[in-house]
Amino acid sequence: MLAADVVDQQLEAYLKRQGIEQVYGTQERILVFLTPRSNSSLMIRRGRRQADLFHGDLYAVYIQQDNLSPADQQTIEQNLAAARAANAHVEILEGDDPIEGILQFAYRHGITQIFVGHTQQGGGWLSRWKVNPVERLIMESDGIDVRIFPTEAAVE
Amino acid sequence: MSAAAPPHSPLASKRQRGRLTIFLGYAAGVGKTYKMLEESQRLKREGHDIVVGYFEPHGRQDTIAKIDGLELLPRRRISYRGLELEEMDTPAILARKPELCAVDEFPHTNVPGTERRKRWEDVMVLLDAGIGVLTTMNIQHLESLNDQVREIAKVQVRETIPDWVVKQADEVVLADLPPRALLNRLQRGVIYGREKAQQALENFFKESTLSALREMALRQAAHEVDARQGEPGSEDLSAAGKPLAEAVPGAEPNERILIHITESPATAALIRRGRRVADYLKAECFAVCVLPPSGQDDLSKTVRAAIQRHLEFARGLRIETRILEGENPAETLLDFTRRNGVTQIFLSKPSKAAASVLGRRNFVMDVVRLAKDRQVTVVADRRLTFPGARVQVSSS
Repeated sequence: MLAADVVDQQLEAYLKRQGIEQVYGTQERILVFLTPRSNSSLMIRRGRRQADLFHGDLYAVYIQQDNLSPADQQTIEQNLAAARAANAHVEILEGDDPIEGILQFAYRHGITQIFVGHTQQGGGWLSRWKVNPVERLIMESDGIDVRIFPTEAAVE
Repeated sequence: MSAAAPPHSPLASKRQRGRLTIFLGYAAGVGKTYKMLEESQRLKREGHDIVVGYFEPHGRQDTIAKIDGLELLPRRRISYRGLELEEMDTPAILARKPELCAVDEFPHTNVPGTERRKRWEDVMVLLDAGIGVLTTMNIQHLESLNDQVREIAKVQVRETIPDWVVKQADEVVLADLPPRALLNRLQRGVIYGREKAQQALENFFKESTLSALREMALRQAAHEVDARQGEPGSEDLSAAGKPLAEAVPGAEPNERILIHITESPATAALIRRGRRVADYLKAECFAVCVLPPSGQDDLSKTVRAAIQRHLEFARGLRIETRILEGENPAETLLDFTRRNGVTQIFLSKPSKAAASVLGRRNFVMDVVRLAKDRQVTVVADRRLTFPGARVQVSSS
């Protein structure tokens, strides 16, 4: 939707000139949080579709992790490729605390919705943090919706 | 969801029902009424039997000039508390039975004592009678955008139109004017008188506000075009030629959305959000609240009233409502979602400030944990996120 995008840019330029931080844009900006074990391809498809329906933007972010198994590493590569193919703005970030990293990115880019996978029990690199990471994301993401997706195994 | 469906099946009734055209704007003065009258003139020239059922001149000369040559039906006088007020004369329009009728100010609330509470309800009656209607409204009157508008414009819009009414429009025509041009018109006193214009400039008519509202109107109009291309009742959006990245086989299956109703003031925003997503996805929508097994008796009067209010609000937006009872609210809710094929659950985010934060937090987390096989959307309470109010995570 070209006209709306132009207006959106005008609006942002205006807000910047006026020193106003745009907390809640009129545009949906969806961020897909890529992790090796989440059903990333589903999240990317749904994110793309919703971004199109709402004439919004799609982002896909992966927080780089060491010590991934070769299989997980391969999954992540595939997910990143899928995100690029879906025309998402793809970012690979570094950081010790993935939740903190994702939220900082989300605030900087005016994200309105974060898509994340359900954490699986008894595993996954995210479980290094004592509090359930999805719970942290929900509690710490001020002003952003969090949409939690089932893992592939859980569906059917 | 028969209760949530519009009273008239679009397929069955479209032939004899009148066509609805909405001229959509983002503020007073962008030219909605002007455009509507221009179109009325064109239709008249083409030989259509068109009348003006209601017209609000607002003293704008160029608009008033546009009515010249059109048949303007007289207004009805209604006395209310010693005042003589004027309303659209719906019985007179029905008696005149034109082919088409122009009706200004779609969201208007009628004077008590008229048959219907809202002008849009009068318009529905005209459409039912087979009269095509051209009407005007601003984007801020769309019910599901109410919260967003309040945040952007810092005004509470009370005269709202439910989304299902706007969805019935056969055509949505955008009346657009860049904010700068609108501000110039306002300063020249074209839209309001001088003092009122000054007031308006200081409040609603700020460039930032206007730009944001305009963007919402543009997006809505774009969405209306998309939605109409997908009709009638098409589930498969890709068939409508939409540039979807998703291939046809991966198209989203029929979605069913559940909105969780509580007494929390954030519930109204949650209902609007859920309804809006459901509309975009062409999904069915339920609003469900879970009461303790003893029913409502254990709840305080205020809590009961708030839940009642939220359920009624949902019904007003054509959302089917259910009241469940159960010992464990999360399990009861999940049980309902499985039995009814709900694919997405909408909950409001526990507020950090709320006294009952632990209870709410545990409920939300219980639902997230139990609903491993479906999508859960935890909706943020954006009322709290005014600039400066948010705890900004500092960049490292």
